[in-house]
Amino acid sequence: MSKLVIIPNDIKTVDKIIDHYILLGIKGYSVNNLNIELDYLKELIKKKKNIFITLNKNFTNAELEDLEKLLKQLATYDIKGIFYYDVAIVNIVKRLKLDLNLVWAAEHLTTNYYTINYWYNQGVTSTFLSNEITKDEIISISENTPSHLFVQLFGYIPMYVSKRHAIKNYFKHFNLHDHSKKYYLFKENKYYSITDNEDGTMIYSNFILNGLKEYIELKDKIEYIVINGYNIDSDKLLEIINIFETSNTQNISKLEQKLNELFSNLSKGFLYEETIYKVK
Amino acid sequence: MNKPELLAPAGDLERLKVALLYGADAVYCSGPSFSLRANANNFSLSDLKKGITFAHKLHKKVYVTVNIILHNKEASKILDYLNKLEKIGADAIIVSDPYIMDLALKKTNLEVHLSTQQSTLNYESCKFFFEQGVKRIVLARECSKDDIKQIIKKVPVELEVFIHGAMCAGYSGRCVLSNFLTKRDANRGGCSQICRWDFKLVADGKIIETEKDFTLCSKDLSLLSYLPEMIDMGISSFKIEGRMRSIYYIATVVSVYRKAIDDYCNKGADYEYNKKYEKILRRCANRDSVVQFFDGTNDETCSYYNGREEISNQDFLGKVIAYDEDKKLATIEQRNYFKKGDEVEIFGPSSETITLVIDKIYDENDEIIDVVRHPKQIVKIKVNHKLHPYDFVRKKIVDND
Repeated sequence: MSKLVIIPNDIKTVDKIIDHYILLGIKGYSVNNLNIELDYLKELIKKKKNIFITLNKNFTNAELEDLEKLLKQLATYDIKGIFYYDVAIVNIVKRLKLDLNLVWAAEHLTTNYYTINYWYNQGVTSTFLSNEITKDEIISISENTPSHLFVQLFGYIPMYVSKRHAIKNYFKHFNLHDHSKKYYLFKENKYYSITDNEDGTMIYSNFILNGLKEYIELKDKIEYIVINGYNIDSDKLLEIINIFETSNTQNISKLEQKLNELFSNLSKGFLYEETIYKVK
Repeated sequence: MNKPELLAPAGDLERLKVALLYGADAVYCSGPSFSLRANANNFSLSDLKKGITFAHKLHKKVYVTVNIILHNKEASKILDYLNKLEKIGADAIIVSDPYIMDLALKKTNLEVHLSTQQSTLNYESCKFFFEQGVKRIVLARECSKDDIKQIIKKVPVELEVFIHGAMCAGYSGRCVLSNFLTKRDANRGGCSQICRWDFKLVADGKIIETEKDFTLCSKDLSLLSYLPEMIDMGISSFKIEGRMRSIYYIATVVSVYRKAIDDYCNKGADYEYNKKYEKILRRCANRDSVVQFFDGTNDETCSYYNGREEISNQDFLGKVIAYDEDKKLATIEQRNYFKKGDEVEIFGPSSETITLVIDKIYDENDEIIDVVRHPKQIVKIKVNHKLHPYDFVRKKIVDND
């Protein structure tokens, strides 16, 4: 039976989901997540045991020393695992023989069980699967790997990470002054959330992935189902968690209807649709 | 000082030959499968073999890209493909997916290079892949020169660094805008370059009105001015981007970098930066080039926020396909309009650039004509210097261009 892992949108939500598995980033080390200070994490683990940490930035040499210190420190904490993108983390953890469970979370690259098994043999025992694969591929992976799998089945999907500061540079180029809180790219009647902070630029999907129906099918095959609360307010996120927790084959239609009432931009993403490899 | 390898793109057999003849030490190209340029005119295995034979005769190398991110159903076919590449003599493969890397290292004798698609930025990642058996790492284009220096100091792996061409706006491998907006898989060769699209930027519900729409579009990269420093740093390979580019682009860019590298390696302290090279590069590209992350810059000067400043380039006038030494007539295949009286330059892999005014032009029936306006039209022009196939005719590039 799957466990739900929640990515909260803000700090105030964290306390409300204290009984669930939770995925948090650390400021300066993570992108596409709610990033917290290490001191806050220390406090949090006193009352909460089911925390995964994501350190999914691309690191430069200059950041490695601090990264190593952080990993050493995290190895002394009671956390469930470290999500990573940069292979530097694997090397440091192996070299220092740190007692940390690693989760290969290279966003769009975690697409097949052969590579997942390669990382498993390197000591990486878990994988956060790509959002760009189909449900059948997810099932096939689950049947062919010992790796513990994480699959996002609800929420906005990260599509783009850049070191560049796209919004800041745009404003600077046109000498604009803007202090808005939320930015979107708008094209062909679709809105894509875009953020630009000290770590660069991130862009999210225009739709919310809704895999509630698939959750019922996958919950016995996939160990962790991720609900990404990015850009979803606290009350709605709690409602989604409740919907997932109470879902079954009998009430699915009713719950789907409820989700459709809450959100107008739900989608199945790539669960049933392969992206084109060759155009011609 | 060690002379670095000059590595050029080859979209097909003709471009492979042009790149090698014009001075590249090695080329990289896509075979029929598993490459990130799925929509390029990729090599068949038989053409690849011809290209490898051509390169080896010149004591040069061919690297084959096998750099897609695999899905379950493709993975079972990969070993057979790697065996075929080994059999035809590929000098190395460029991979992104660690499973392919591992398979090639364990089951073949192919040399393995790690693709920039892994976005390798630091020495810890380099150490990991080096210890796995990777011979060379193509660094992320976000690396600064200090990053590269430190990696060279700490890891004895060969480093390949991009010196010229287009840039991804995001970290390679971390952008799937193409998948979401056009259903074309960026990590499996289908990138539709959404970073070059225009968008409206909406702030707190209101569209920001400016003279130009928002875009993620990046300017191109050119590190010509940093070549001496890069050679001194000990970078193993200088890579030019652009498997989809024309033969003229390849010939021009490769020959400029070839000359600049040779100039510095031969002259050392007496080397002087040649502004004309920069001019030639600028004219043959249709986009602005800057140094990008190499010198630590990461600001608005690296991006196109003022619309795409792209100019259709018409400098390339024709390709020499034969030369009659007795009659001093060069047979030219036309690429852009030219006419009697035009001042042109002819450059080639084995000769100095010559400048001449076009005097007489003959058509295929040896009739005198004044203008050459048809694409691929075959004409003859009088040239007193001996020319060779694959010499190119371009508009004269003058100092005030």
